[in-house]
Amino acid sequence: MTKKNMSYSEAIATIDGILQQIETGELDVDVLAEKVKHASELLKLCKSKLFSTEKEIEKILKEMEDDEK
Amino acid sequence: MDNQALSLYQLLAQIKSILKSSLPSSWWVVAEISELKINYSGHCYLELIEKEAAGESIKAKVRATIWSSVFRMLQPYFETTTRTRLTAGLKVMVRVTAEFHELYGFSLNITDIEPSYTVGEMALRKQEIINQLMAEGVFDMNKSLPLPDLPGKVAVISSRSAAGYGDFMDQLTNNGFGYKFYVKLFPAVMQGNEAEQSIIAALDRIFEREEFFDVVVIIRGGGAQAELNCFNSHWLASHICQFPLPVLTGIGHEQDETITDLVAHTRLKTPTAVAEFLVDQYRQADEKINELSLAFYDIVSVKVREEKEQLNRFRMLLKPAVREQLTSCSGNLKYLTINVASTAKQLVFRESEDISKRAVRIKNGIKGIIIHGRHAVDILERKNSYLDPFLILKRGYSITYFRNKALRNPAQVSQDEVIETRLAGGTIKSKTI
Repeated sequence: MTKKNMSYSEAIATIDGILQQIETGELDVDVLAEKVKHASELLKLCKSKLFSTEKEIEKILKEMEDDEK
Repeated sequence: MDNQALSLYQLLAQIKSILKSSLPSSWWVVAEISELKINYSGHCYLELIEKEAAGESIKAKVRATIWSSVFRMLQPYFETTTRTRLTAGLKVMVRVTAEFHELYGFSLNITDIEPSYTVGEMALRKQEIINQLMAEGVFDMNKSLPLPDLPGKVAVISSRSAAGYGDFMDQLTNNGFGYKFYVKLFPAVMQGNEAEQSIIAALDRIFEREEFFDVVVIIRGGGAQAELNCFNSHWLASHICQFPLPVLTGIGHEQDETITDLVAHTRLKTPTAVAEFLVDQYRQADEKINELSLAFYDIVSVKVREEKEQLNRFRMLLKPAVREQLTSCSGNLKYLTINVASTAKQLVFRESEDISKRAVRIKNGIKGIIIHGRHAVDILERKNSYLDPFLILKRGYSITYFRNKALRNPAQVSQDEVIETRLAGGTIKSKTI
Protein backbone atom coordinates (compact mmCIF):
# COMPACT_ATOMS: atom_id res chain seq x y z
CA MET A 1 0.00 0.00 0.00
CA THR A 2 2.83 2.39 0.86
CA LYS A 3 5.05 3.06 -2.10
CA LYS A 4 8.71 2.91 -1.17
CA ASN A 5 9.75 5.71 -3.50
CA MET A 6 6.93 8.09 -2.62
CA SER A 7 8.27 11.62 -2.19
CA TYR A 8 8.05 13.47 1.11
CA SER A 9 5.54 15.96 -0.29
CA GLU A 10 3.31 13.24 -1.76
CA ALA A 11 3.35 11.40 1.55
CA ILE A 12 2.46 14.53 3.53
CA ALA A 13 -0.34 15.35 1.10
CA THR A 14 -1.74 11.82 1.47
CA ILE A 15 -1.59 12.06 5.26
CA ASP A 16 -3.34 15.43 5.18
CA GLY A 17 -6.01 13.91 2.96
CA ILE A 18 -6.65 11.02 5.34
CA LEU A 19 -6.77 13.40 8.30
CA GLN A 20 -9.37 15.49 6.52
CA GLN A 21 -11.47 12.46 5.66
CA ILE A 22 -11.49 11.44 9.31
CA GLU A 23 -12.31 14.97 10.44
CA THR A 24 -15.27 15.28 8.11
CA GLY A 25 -16.48 11.87 9.24
CA GLU A 26 -16.40 10.49 5.73
CA LEU A 27 -14.81 7.30 6.88
CA ASP A 28 -16.49 4.18 8.06
CA VAL A 29 -15.08 2.67 11.25
CA ASP A 30 -13.96 -0.41 9.34
CA VAL A 31 -12.00 1.68 6.83
CA LEU A 32 -10.74 3.96 9.60
CA ALA A 33 -8.43 1.36 11.08
CA GLU A 34 -6.94 0.64 7.70
CA LYS A 35 -6.46 4.32 6.88
CA VAL A 36 -4.87 5.07 10.23
CA LYS A 37 -2.46 2.23 9.65
CA HIS A 38 -1.61 3.61 6.21
CA ALA A 39 -1.10 7.10 7.63
CA SER A 40 1.20 5.88 10.36
CA GLU A 41 3.27 4.04 7.78
CA LEU A 42 3.52 7.23 5.75
CA LEU A 43 4.53 9.23 8.82
CA LYS A 44 7.27 6.72 9.44
CA LEU A 45 8.37 7.06 5.80
CA CYS A 46 8.51 10.86 6.14
CA LYS A 47 10.60 10.63 9.27
CA SER A 48 13.00 8.25 7.61
CA LYS A 49 13.45 10.69 4.74
CA LEU A 50 14.80 13.25 7.20
CA PHE A 51 17.40 11.00 8.68
CA SER A 52 18.25 7.97 6.65
CA THR A 53 20.63 7.59 3.78
CA GLU A 54 19.02 6.54 0.54
CA LYS A 55 21.30 4.21 -1.40
CA GLU A 56 19.71 5.16 -4.71
CA ILE A 57 20.55 8.87 -4.28
CA GLU A 58 24.10 8.19 -3.17
CA LYS A 59 24.52 6.02 -6.25
CA ILE A 60 23.37 8.82 -8.59
CA LEU A 61 25.73 11.31 -6.90
CA LYS A 62 28.59 8.86 -7.27
CA GLU A 63 27.79 8.43 -10.96
CA MET A 64 27.82 12.21 -11.41
CA GLU A 65 31.25 12.41 -9.80
CA ASP A 66 32.52 9.59 -11.99
CA ASP A 67 31.14 11.21 -15.14
CA GLU A 68 33.20 14.30 -14.47
CA LYS A 69 36.45 12.42 -14.20
CA MET B 1 65.23 76.96 -44.68
CA ASP B 2 67.55 74.33 -43.28
CA ASN B 3 68.54 76.45 -40.33
CA GLN B 4 64.88 77.00 -39.47
CA ALA B 5 64.08 73.31 -39.25
CA LEU B 6 63.79 71.87 -35.74
CA SER B 7 64.95 68.54 -34.67
CA LEU B 8 62.18 66.19 -33.64
CA TYR B 9 63.25 66.41 -30.06
CA GLN B 10 63.23 70.24 -30.24
CA LEU B 11 59.70 70.20 -31.65
CA LEU B 12 58.38 67.83 -29.07
CA ALA B 13 60.17 69.73 -26.33
CA GLN B 14 58.46 72.93 -27.52
CA ILE B 15 55.04 71.22 -27.49
CA LYS B 16 55.81 69.92 -24.04
CA SER B 17 56.68 73.38 -22.72
CA ILE B 18 53.61 74.99 -24.38
CA LEU B 19 51.36 72.38 -22.84
CA LYS B 20 52.96 72.86 -19.47
CA SER B 21 52.71 76.60 -19.47
CA SER B 22 49.25 77.05 -20.97
CA LEU B 23 47.27 74.26 -19.25
CA PRO B 24 46.05 74.20 -15.68
CA SER B 25 48.06 71.96 -13.49
CA SER B 26 45.28 69.36 -13.16
CA TRP B 27 41.61 68.45 -14.01
CA TRP B 28 38.95 66.15 -12.76
CA VAL B 29 37.86 63.93 -15.60
CA VAL B 30 35.40 61.06 -15.98
CA ALA B 31 36.23 58.10 -18.18
CA GLU B 32 35.87 54.36 -18.52
CA ILE B 33 38.83 52.10 -17.91
CA SER B 34 39.28 49.86 -20.94
CA GLU B 35 42.63 48.34 -19.96
CA LEU B 36 44.54 48.11 -16.72
CA LYS B 37 47.93 46.56 -16.05
CA ILE B 38 50.15 46.68 -13.03
CA ASN B 39 53.81 46.10 -13.75
CA TYR B 40 56.44 44.44 -11.58
CA SER B 41 57.43 47.69 -9.88
CA GLY B 42 53.86 48.56 -8.91
CA HIS B 43 53.13 51.22 -11.50
CA CYS B 44 49.66 51.03 -12.95
CA TYR B 45 49.17 51.53 -16.69
CA LEU B 46 45.70 52.16 -18.00
CA GLU B 47 43.82 53.01 -21.12
CA LEU B 48 40.91 55.39 -20.65
CA ILE B 49 38.12 55.73 -23.18
CA GLU B 50 34.87 57.51 -23.79
CA LYS B 51 32.14 55.83 -25.79
CA GLU B 52 29.41 57.35 -27.90
CA ALA B 53 26.30 58.00 -25.82
CA ALA B 54 24.38 55.38 -27.74
CA GLY B 55 26.48 52.41 -28.71
CA GLU B 56 29.86 50.91 -28.26
CA SER B 57 32.00 52.97 -30.61
CA ILE B 58 34.84 54.85 -28.97
CA LYS B 59 35.16 58.55 -29.55
CA ALA B 60 38.14 59.31 -27.30
CA LYS B 61 41.04 57.26 -26.02
CA VAL B 62 44.16 58.03 -24.02
CA ARG B 63 46.92 56.26 -22.12
CA ALA B 64 47.17 56.94 -18.41
CA THR B 65 49.50 56.08 -15.59
CA ILE B 66 49.27 55.84 -11.85
CA TRP B 67 52.71 55.82 -10.38
CA SER B 68 53.30 53.17 -7.81
CA SER B 69 53.70 55.62 -4.92
CA VAL B 70 50.20 56.98 -5.64
CA PHE B 71 48.69 53.64 -6.64
CA ARG B 72 49.65 52.06 -3.29
CA MET B 73 47.29 54.53 -1.59
CA LEU B 74 44.60 54.95 -4.25
CA GLN B 75 43.90 51.27 -4.84
CA PRO B 76 42.89 50.31 -1.25
CA TYR B 77 41.03 53.60 -0.85
CA PHE B 78 39.01 52.95 -3.99
CA GLU B 79 38.39 49.29 -3.30
CA THR B 80 37.31 49.63 0.34
CA THR B 81 34.93 52.45 -0.54
CA THR B 82 33.37 50.85 -3.60
CA ARG B 83 33.85 47.21 -2.54
CA THR B 84 34.92 46.74 -6.13
CA ARG B 85 38.32 45.94 -7.50
CA LEU B 86 39.78 48.70 -9.68
CA THR B 87 39.56 46.98 -12.98
CA ALA B 88 38.70 47.39 -16.65
CA GLY B 89 35.07 48.14 -17.36
CA LEU B 90 34.60 50.57 -14.49
CA LYS B 91 33.69 54.17 -14.87
CA VAL B 92 35.90 56.40 -12.78
CA MET B 93 36.39 60.01 -11.88
CA VAL B 94 40.09 60.82 -11.65
CA ARG B 95 42.25 63.85 -11.16
CA VAL B 96 44.78 64.03 -13.96
CA THR B 97 47.66 66.09 -15.19
CA ALA B 98 48.51 66.11 -18.87
CA GLU B 99 51.95 64.75 -19.57
CA PHE B 100 53.83 65.02 -22.77
CA HIS B 101 57.11 63.26 -23.11
CA GLU B 102 59.47 63.54 -26.03
CA LEU B 103 59.95 59.79 -26.15
CA TYR B 104 56.69 58.36 -24.70
CA GLY B 105 54.19 60.82 -26.16
CA PHE B 106 50.96 62.02 -24.61
CA SER B 107 49.47 60.49 -21.53
CA LEU B 108 47.52 61.38 -18.41
CA ASN B 109 49.00 61.05 -14.99
CA ILE B 110 46.41 60.10 -12.42
CA THR B 111 46.96 61.64 -9.02
CA ASP B 112 43.61 61.10 -7.31
CA ILE B 113 40.35 59.18 -7.66
CA GLU B 114 36.77 59.84 -6.53
CA PRO B 115 35.25 56.46 -5.53
CA SER B 116 31.76 57.87 -4.89
CA TYR B 117 31.42 58.57 -8.60
CA THR B 118 32.03 54.90 -9.37
CA VAL B 119 29.64 53.86 -6.60
CA GLY B 120 26.97 56.09 -8.12
CA GLU B 121 27.73 54.79 -11.59
CA MET B 122 27.50 51.21 -10.38
CA ALA B 123 24.24 51.88 -8.59
CA LEU B 124 22.90 53.45 -11.74
CA ARG B 125 24.09 50.53 -13.80
CA LYS B 126 22.57 48.11 -11.27
CA GLN B 127 19.26 49.91 -11.43
CA GLU B 128 19.39 49.76 -15.22
CA ILE B 129 19.91 46.01 -15.07
CA ILE B 130 17.06 45.60 -12.58
CA ASN B 131 14.78 47.66 -14.81
CA GLN B 132 15.82 45.59 -17.78
CA LEU B 133 15.11 42.30 -15.95
CA MET B 134 11.70 43.62 -14.92
CA ALA B 135 10.96 44.75 -18.45
CA GLU B 136 11.89 41.26 -19.66
CA GLY B 137 9.41 39.87 -17.13
CA VAL B 138 11.94 37.58 -15.46
CA PHE B 139 12.89 39.47 -12.29
CA ASP B 140 10.55 37.55 -9.96
CA MET B 141 10.65 34.21 -11.72
CA ASN B 142 13.03 32.40 -9.39
CA LYS B 143 11.35 33.86 -6.32
CA SER B 144 8.00 32.49 -7.42
CA LEU B 145 9.27 28.89 -7.52
CA PRO B 146 8.04 26.83 -4.59
CA LEU B 147 10.75 25.72 -2.20
CA PRO B 148 10.55 21.93 -1.79
CA ASP B 149 9.34 20.82 1.64
CA LEU B 150 12.49 18.81 2.05
CA PRO B 151 15.37 20.51 0.17
CA GLY B 152 17.75 17.63 0.72
CA LYS B 153 19.50 17.40 -2.64
CA VAL B 154 21.68 20.47 -2.90
CA ALA B 155 23.75 21.63 -5.87
CA VAL B 156 26.45 24.00 -4.64
CA ILE B 157 28.25 26.54 -6.81
CA SER B 158 31.44 27.63 -5.11
CA SER B 159 35.13 27.40 -5.47
CA ARG B 160 36.33 24.15 -3.96
CA SER B 161 38.88 25.80 -1.72
CA ALA B 162 36.70 28.64 -0.44
CA ALA B 163 36.46 28.93 3.32
CA GLY B 164 32.76 29.64 2.87
CA TYR B 165 32.24 26.26 1.22
CA GLY B 166 33.94 24.55 4.17
CA ASP B 167 31.73 26.47 6.61
CA PHE B 168 28.65 25.53 4.64
CA MET B 169 29.50 21.82 4.54
CA ASP B 170 30.40 21.78 8.19
CA GLN B 171 27.17 23.45 9.22
CA LEU B 172 25.10 21.14 7.06
CA THR B 173 26.69 17.80 7.92
CA ASN B 174 27.00 18.50 11.65
CA ASN B 175 23.52 19.94 11.91
CA GLY B 176 22.89 18.60 15.41
CA PHE B 177 19.66 16.82 14.51
CA GLY B 178 21.09 14.05 12.34
CA TYR B 179 19.28 15.30 9.23
CA LYS B 180 20.65 13.85 6.03
CA PHE B 181 21.58 16.10 3.10
CA TYR B 182 23.07 15.22 -0.27
CA VAL B 183 25.48 17.85 -1.54
CA LYS B 184 27.16 18.02 -4.92
CA LEU B 185 29.71 20.73 -5.61
CA PHE B 186 29.81 22.35 -9.04
CA PRO B 187 33.10 24.21 -8.84
CA ALA B 188 33.29 27.70 -10.33
CA VAL B 189 35.56 30.69 -10.27
CA MET B 190 33.88 33.12 -7.89
CA GLN B 191 35.78 36.32 -8.56
CA GLY B 192 37.36 38.29 -11.35
CA ASN B 193 36.51 38.53 -14.99
CA GLU B 194 36.02 34.80 -15.49
CA ALA B 195 33.50 34.48 -12.67
CA GLU B 196 30.40 35.35 -14.68
CA GLN B 197 31.05 32.76 -17.36
CA SER B 198 32.24 30.17 -14.89
CA ILE B 199 29.13 30.46 -12.70
CA ILE B 200 26.84 30.30 -15.73
CA ALA B 201 28.69 27.17 -16.91
CA ALA B 202 28.11 25.60 -13.49
CA LEU B 203 24.39 26.48 -13.70
CA ASP B 204 24.27 24.82 -17.11
CA ARG B 205 25.76 21.63 -15.68
CA ILE B 206 23.18 21.64 -12.86
CA PHE B 207 20.44 22.26 -15.41
CA GLU B 208 21.32 18.93 -17.04
CA ARG B 209 20.53 17.30 -13.68
CA GLU B 210 17.63 19.56 -12.85
CA GLU B 211 15.14 16.82 -11.92
CA PHE B 212 17.59 15.31 -9.43
CA PHE B 213 18.30 18.40 -7.33
CA ASP B 214 15.98 20.34 -5.02
CA VAL B 215 17.88 23.63 -4.72
CA VAL B 216 20.93 25.49 -6.00
CA VAL B 217 23.19 27.26 -3.54
CA ILE B 218 25.64 29.95 -4.66
CA ILE B 219 28.18 30.64 -1.96
CA ARG B 220 31.32 32.63 -1.65
CA GLY B 221 33.24 33.77 1.29
CA GLY B 222 36.65 34.16 2.69
CA GLY B 223 37.88 35.90 -0.45
CA ALA B 224 38.44 39.58 -1.12
CA GLN B 225 35.55 41.76 -0.06
CA ALA B 226 36.04 43.86 -3.15
CA GLU B 227 34.93 41.18 -5.54
CA LEU B 228 31.22 41.40 -5.96
CA ASN B 229 31.02 43.01 -9.36
CA CYS B 230 30.52 39.72 -11.21
CA PHE B 231 27.33 39.21 -9.17
CA ASN B 232 25.90 42.34 -10.73
CA SER B 233 25.96 41.04 -14.26
CA HIS B 234 22.78 41.10 -16.29
CA TRP B 235 23.65 37.88 -18.03
CA LEU B 236 24.16 35.94 -14.78
CA ALA B 237 21.06 37.47 -13.18
CA SER B 238 18.97 36.54 -16.20
CA HIS B 239 20.18 32.93 -15.90
CA ILE B 240 19.33 32.79 -12.19
CA CYS B 241 15.89 34.33 -12.74
CA GLN B 242 14.97 31.69 -15.27
CA PHE B 243 16.61 28.74 -13.55
CA PRO B 244 14.01 26.01 -12.85
CA LEU B 245 15.26 25.33 -9.31
CA PRO B 246 15.17 27.78 -6.40
CA VAL B 247 18.54 29.53 -6.04
CA LEU B 248 19.80 30.41 -2.56
CA THR B 249 22.67 32.87 -2.19
CA GLY B 250 25.24 33.24 0.53
CA ILE B 251 27.73 35.51 -1.12
CA GLY B 252 29.19 36.69 2.13
CA HIS B 253 28.71 40.40 2.44
CA GLU B 254 26.75 42.57 4.75
CA GLN B 255 25.74 45.84 3.15
CA ASP B 256 25.26 45.86 -0.58
CA GLU B 257 22.86 43.49 -2.17
CA THR B 258 24.09 42.36 -5.54
CA ILE B 259 21.66 41.76 -8.39
CA THR B 260 22.29 38.04 -7.92
CA ASP B 261 20.95 38.41 -4.36
CA LEU B 262 17.98 40.44 -5.54
CA VAL B 263 16.81 37.90 -8.08
CA ALA B 264 17.63 34.78 -6.05
CA HIS B 265 14.82 32.79 -4.48
CA THR B 266 16.21 33.49 -1.02
CA ARG B 267 19.10 35.74 -0.16
CA LEU B 268 21.18 34.87 2.89
CA LYS B 269 24.19 36.72 4.14
CA THR B 270 26.74 33.97 4.55
CA PRO B 271 27.30 30.35 3.50
CA THR B 272 26.69 29.34 7.12
CA ALA B 273 23.34 31.11 7.04
CA VAL B 274 22.38 29.17 3.91
CA ALA B 275 23.16 25.89 5.68
CA GLU B 276 21.13 27.00 8.70
CA PHE B 277 18.26 27.89 6.40
CA LEU B 278 18.28 24.41 4.85
CA VAL B 279 18.48 22.72 8.25
CA ASP B 280 15.58 24.89 9.36
CA GLN B 281 13.47 23.63 6.45
CA TYR B 282 14.12 20.11 7.71
CA ARG B 283 13.19 21.12 11.24
CA GLN B 284 9.92 22.56 9.99
CA ALA B 285 9.24 19.32 8.13
CA ASP B 286 10.15 17.37 11.25
CA GLU B 287 7.74 19.44 13.33
CA LYS B 288 5.05 19.05 10.71
CA ILE B 289 5.40 15.26 10.93
CA ASN B 290 5.18 15.39 14.72
CA GLU B 291 2.12 17.63 14.53
CA LEU B 292 0.47 15.28 12.10
CA SER B 293 1.26 12.31 14.33
CA LEU B 294 -0.34 14.10 17.28
CA ALA B 295 -3.31 15.18 15.20
CA PHE B 296 -3.81 11.55 14.24
CA TYR B 297 -3.57 10.38 17.78
CA ASP B 298 -6.12 13.01 18.86
CA ILE B 299 -8.56 12.50 16.07
CA VAL B 300 -8.44 8.73 16.33
CA SER B 301 -8.98 8.74 20.08
CA VAL B 302 -11.88 11.17 19.65
CA LYS B 303 -13.31 8.94 16.95
CA VAL B 304 -12.97 5.84 19.09
CA ARG B 305 -14.62 7.61 22.05
CA GLU B 306 -17.46 8.77 19.84
CA GLU B 307 -18.02 5.29 18.54
CA LYS B 308 -18.00 3.91 22.08
CA GLU B 309 -20.56 6.48 23.20
CA GLN B 310 -22.71 5.68 20.23
CA LEU B 311 -22.50 2.01 21.12
CA ASN B 312 -23.49 2.74 24.72
CA ARG B 313 -26.46 4.77 23.55
CA PHE B 314 -27.57 1.89 21.39
CA ARG B 315 -27.19 -0.48 24.34
CA MET B 316 -29.33 1.76 26.55
CA LEU B 317 -31.99 1.99 23.89
CA LEU B 318 -31.84 -1.73 23.23
CA LYS B 319 -32.77 -2.89 26.77
CA PRO B 320 -36.29 -1.38 27.01
CA ALA B 321 -36.92 -2.17 23.39
CA VAL B 322 -36.12 -5.81 23.96
CA ARG B 323 -38.21 -5.92 27.15
CA GLU B 324 -41.18 -4.45 25.34
CA GLN B 325 -40.79 -6.84 22.52
CA LEU B 326 -40.51 -9.76 24.95
CA THR B 327 -43.66 -8.75 26.83
CA SER B 328 -45.64 -8.44 23.67
CA CYS B 329 -44.30 -11.76 22.46
CA SER B 330 -45.09 -13.59 25.68
CA GLY B 331 -48.69 -12.24 25.62
CA ASN B 332 -49.04 -13.53 22.16
CA LEU B 333 -47.64 -16.84 23.23
CA LYS B 334 -50.10 -17.21 26.11
CA TYR B 335 -52.99 -16.45 23.84
CA LEU B 336 -51.67 -18.91 21.33
CA THR B 337 -51.19 -21.58 24.00
CA ILE B 338 -54.82 -21.36 25.09
CA ASN B 339 -55.97 -21.19 21.58
CA VAL B 340 -53.88 -24.15 20.53
CA ALA B 341 -55.24 -26.31 23.42
CA SER B 342 -58.89 -25.73 22.63
CA THR B 343 -58.37 -26.06 18.95
CA ALA B 344 -56.48 -29.28 19.50
CA LYS B 345 -59.23 -30.63 21.74
CA GLN B 346 -61.81 -29.86 19.11
CA LEU B 347 -59.65 -31.33 16.48
CA VAL B 348 -59.06 -34.52 18.48
CA PHE B 349 -62.75 -34.85 19.24
CA ARG B 350 -63.68 -34.43 15.64
CA GLU B 351 -61.01 -36.83 14.53
CA SER B 352 -61.90 -39.45 17.15
CA GLU B 353 -65.53 -39.40 16.06
CA ASP B 354 -64.40 -39.84 12.56
CA ILE B 355 -62.13 -42.66 13.58
CA SER B 356 -64.84 -44.60 15.42
CA LYS B 357 -67.13 -44.27 12.42
CA ARG B 358 -64.41 -45.57 10.24
CA ALA B 359 -63.72 -48.41 12.69
CA VAL B 360 -67.32 -49.63 12.43
CA ARG B 361 -67.13 -49.48 8.71
CA ILE B 362 -63.89 -51.35 8.67
CA LYS B 363 -65.27 -54.00 11.09
CA ASN B 364 -68.31 -54.56 8.87
CA GLY B 365 -66.16 -54.60 5.80
CA ILE B 366 -63.88 -57.24 7.30
CA LYS B 367 -66.84 -59.32 8.46
CA GLY B 368 -68.16 -59.30 4.91
CA ILE B 369 -64.78 -60.26 3.52
CA ILE B 370 -64.46 -63.15 5.99
CA ILE B 371 -67.90 -64.57 5.20
CA HIS B 372 -67.30 -64.30 1.55
CA GLY B 373 -63.90 -65.90 2.00
CA ARG B 374 -65.26 -68.80 3.90
CA HIS B 375 -67.81 -69.52 1.21
CA ALA B 376 -65.14 -69.37 -1.43
CA VAL B 377 -62.98 -71.79 0.55
CA ASP B 378 -65.86 -74.28 0.74
CA ILE B 379 -66.34 -74.22 -2.98
CA LEU B 380 -62.67 -74.61 -3.58
CA GLU B 381 -62.39 -77.53 -1.21
CA ARG B 382 -65.16 -79.22 -2.99
CA LYS B 383 -63.65 -78.57 -6.39
CA ASN B 384 -60.36 -79.80 -5.16
CA SER B 385 -61.77 -83.15 -4.06
CA TYR B 386 -62.61 -84.01 -7.68
CA LEU B 387 -58.98 -83.91 -8.44
CA ASP B 388 -57.76 -86.16 -5.60
CA PRO B 389 -55.81 -89.07 -7.40
CA PHE B 390 -57.10 -91.51 -4.83
CA LEU B 391 -60.68 -90.80 -5.75
CA ILE B 392 -59.75 -91.11 -9.42
CA LEU B 393 -58.17 -94.58 -8.82
CA LYS B 394 -61.28 -95.61 -6.96
CA ARG B 395 -63.21 -94.96 -10.10
CA GLY B 396 -61.05 -97.54 -11.89
CA TYR B 397 -58.19 -95.53 -13.30
CA SER B 398 -54.61 -96.69 -12.71
CA ILE B 399 -51.10 -95.26 -12.86
CA THR B 400 -48.13 -97.12 -14.24
CA TYR B 401 -44.69 -96.35 -12.86
CA PHE B 402 -41.41 -97.26 -14.37
CA ARG B 403 -38.43 -96.65 -12.17
CA ASN B 404 -40.71 -94.72 -9.80
CA LYS B 405 -41.87 -92.37 -12.51
CA ALA B 406 -45.32 -92.24 -13.95
CA LEU B 407 -45.39 -93.60 -17.51
CA ARG B 408 -47.20 -91.58 -20.09
CA ASN B 409 -45.90 -93.20 -23.23
CA PRO B 410 -45.27 -96.94 -23.92
CA ALA B 411 -42.18 -96.01 -25.85
CA GLN B 412 -40.56 -95.07 -22.57
CA VAL B 413 -40.23 -98.77 -21.70
CA SER B 414 -38.29 -101.46 -23.55
CA GLN B 415 -38.66 -105.26 -23.28
CA ASP B 416 -38.18 -107.23 -20.06
CA GLU B 417 -38.50 -104.23 -17.77
CA VAL B 418 -40.39 -104.34 -14.52
CA ILE B 419 -43.22 -101.81 -14.30
CA GLU B 420 -45.57 -101.10 -11.41
CA THR B 421 -49.22 -100.44 -11.77
CA ARG B 422 -50.94 -98.57 -9.00
CA LEU B 423 -54.56 -99.33 -8.43
CA ALA B 424 -56.97 -98.17 -5.77
CA GLY B 425 -56.61 -101.39 -3.94
CA GLY B 426 -52.80 -101.88 -4.30
CA THR B 427 -49.85 -102.31 -6.64
CA ILE B 428 -49.16 -104.86 -9.36
CA LYS B 429 -45.65 -105.53 -10.61
CA SER B 430 -45.39 -106.84 -14.17
CA LYS B 431 -42.85 -107.46 -16.94
CA THR B 432 -43.06 -106.08 -20.41
CA ILE B 433 -42.98 -108.48 -23.33
